[in-house]
Amino acid sequence: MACTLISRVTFKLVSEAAANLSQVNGWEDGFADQIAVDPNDKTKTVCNVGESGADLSTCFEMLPDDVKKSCTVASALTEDVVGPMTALAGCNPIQSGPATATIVTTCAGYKAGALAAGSTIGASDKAPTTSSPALASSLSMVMQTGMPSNAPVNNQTARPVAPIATASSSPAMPAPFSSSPPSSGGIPNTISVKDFKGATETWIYQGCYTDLIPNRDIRTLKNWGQGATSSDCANSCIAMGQSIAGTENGGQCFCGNTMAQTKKVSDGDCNMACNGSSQMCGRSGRLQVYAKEGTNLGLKKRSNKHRHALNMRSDV
Amino acid sequence: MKTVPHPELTLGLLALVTPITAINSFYAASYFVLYGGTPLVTERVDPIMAPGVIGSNHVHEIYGGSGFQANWDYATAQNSQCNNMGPKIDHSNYWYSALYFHEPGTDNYTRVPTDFQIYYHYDLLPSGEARKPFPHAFKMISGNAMLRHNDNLTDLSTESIRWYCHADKSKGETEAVTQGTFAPGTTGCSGTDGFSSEIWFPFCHNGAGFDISKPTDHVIFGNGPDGTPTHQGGNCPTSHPTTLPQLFMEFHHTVSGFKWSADQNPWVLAQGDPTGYGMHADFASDL
Repeated sequence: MACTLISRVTFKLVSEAAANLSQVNGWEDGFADQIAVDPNDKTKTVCNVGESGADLSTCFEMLPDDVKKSCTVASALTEDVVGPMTALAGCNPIQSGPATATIVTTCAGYKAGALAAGSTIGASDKAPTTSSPALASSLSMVMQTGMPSNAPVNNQTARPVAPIATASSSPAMPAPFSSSPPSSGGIPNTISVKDFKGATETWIYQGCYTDLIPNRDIRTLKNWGQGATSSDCANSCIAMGQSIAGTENGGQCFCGNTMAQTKKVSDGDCNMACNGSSQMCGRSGRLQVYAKEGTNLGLKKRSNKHRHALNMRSDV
Repeated sequence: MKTVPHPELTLGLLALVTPITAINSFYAASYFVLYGGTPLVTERVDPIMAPGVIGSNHVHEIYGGSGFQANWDYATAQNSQCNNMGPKIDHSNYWYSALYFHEPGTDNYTRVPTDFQIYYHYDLLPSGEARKPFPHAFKMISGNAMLRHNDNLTDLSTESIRWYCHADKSKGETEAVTQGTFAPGTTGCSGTDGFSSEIWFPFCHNGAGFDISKPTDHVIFGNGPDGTPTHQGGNCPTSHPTTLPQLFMEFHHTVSGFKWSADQNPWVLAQGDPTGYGMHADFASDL
């Protein structure tokens, strides 16, 4: 049985220790796997795109063009960014200089940005020795506007993402909330969802996991999605570009690309029915998680001979 | 509400002059270009300068992996479903301040449709060694959103930025190219490559990670043949000895739908910059 660890917390305010990795032996991964960075390296292809105008596909395995062109992400906000509009989004009055411009916050109706659900500002891989003064004051400004850091950010709508290039012949974005056919109830082993291209994907039940463990402010899946059942939730997660979906408390939906701070519990813990369905949707503090087959949940596995040293509370 | 000092800083004064005997031959070079087309998303989110915040200071156009979110990190980006730059392994994100057309005499702002190309220059060092890869989750910015003047005396932001108006002279258009600020005196940019902009990134790394209180300390530009910092190519000083690939971003702005006259300069960057000096861009590596 896997023993989960608290995985890396998102934020680093101080120098990242990880930055020192990958510098020792030259290119370790990424495009250095696929092209010869050193022209004397005969084991790899020399990428001459720049000079010869050769196609990038001679250097890299490329996404199909239609996948690339239709790759979009739903905005986390619902404001107009295209216009015509009478003012730039946010609070950005024209400042012509030549003096260096300043941040302005006094625009009529302007509200400071809110921390996304699950944001962990202030946390780090290691205890920060200093906190960033700029960030701390940003945070305090957020707090002053009455938006608690772990409140759901209501403008994270999981709208369907329409392709911007209308000339594309790829299928239009799938409707986000098409449910799979009703199953016999309980926890379906697989759910059917639509991907970016409108093709049907099968997502697989990954288990029942705790949420808000051990820190009640940090969610296992960070983004709020929408949908009454696990299928609906997964469809809205795909529309947000996320590959892991979790329902909770009978109808909450969360999305993420990795799972943080959780442990797997018995399937029987996810036993609260979804609204209007015989399927289950987690429970209070329990995420019923689905992901596309092969997705890395971001959970580290340890030998089941060891119990890791971190505190694991079981009473949530 | 009190004013929050914006954490974006000017590029710091660069390292001491060091004597050099050879300079990496930049143009003998190895590079590849990724083409981005239309953005992944356009929104006020900035995982580098406003991590975790929904509603950062100004609008960015964002490219790269679909794992992009305000809480950006390496693992999240690795699980991207797709990316709009092409290579399967590139889950990095790239973003820059959106460009708007401010219709003269009105209060109307309209986003200028833009597409994006990025060049990765990875030419060899003078010693024959290859450059080092970007560390996982490497983050950097180039340019300064708050700048509104030419900073050539103090910094390299202006020098690393160009604004172009490629003219179709048969239509009586005027060609213009400027360092740092919007090209003036134009009426239409119908020539090949049209209205475009570009920015170079620093590439000399001191091994440290991104620190939001000092966002440009960890990576700086190289020194040119005269030993002073330069925006393009150059050798890394001893303070920042690791030579990373040098990134170059190029933007093509579709302005054919807009009308303006030679005495007008109707372009505004999303942070309220009508000069163009505040052009800036960000990179978060997730190869």
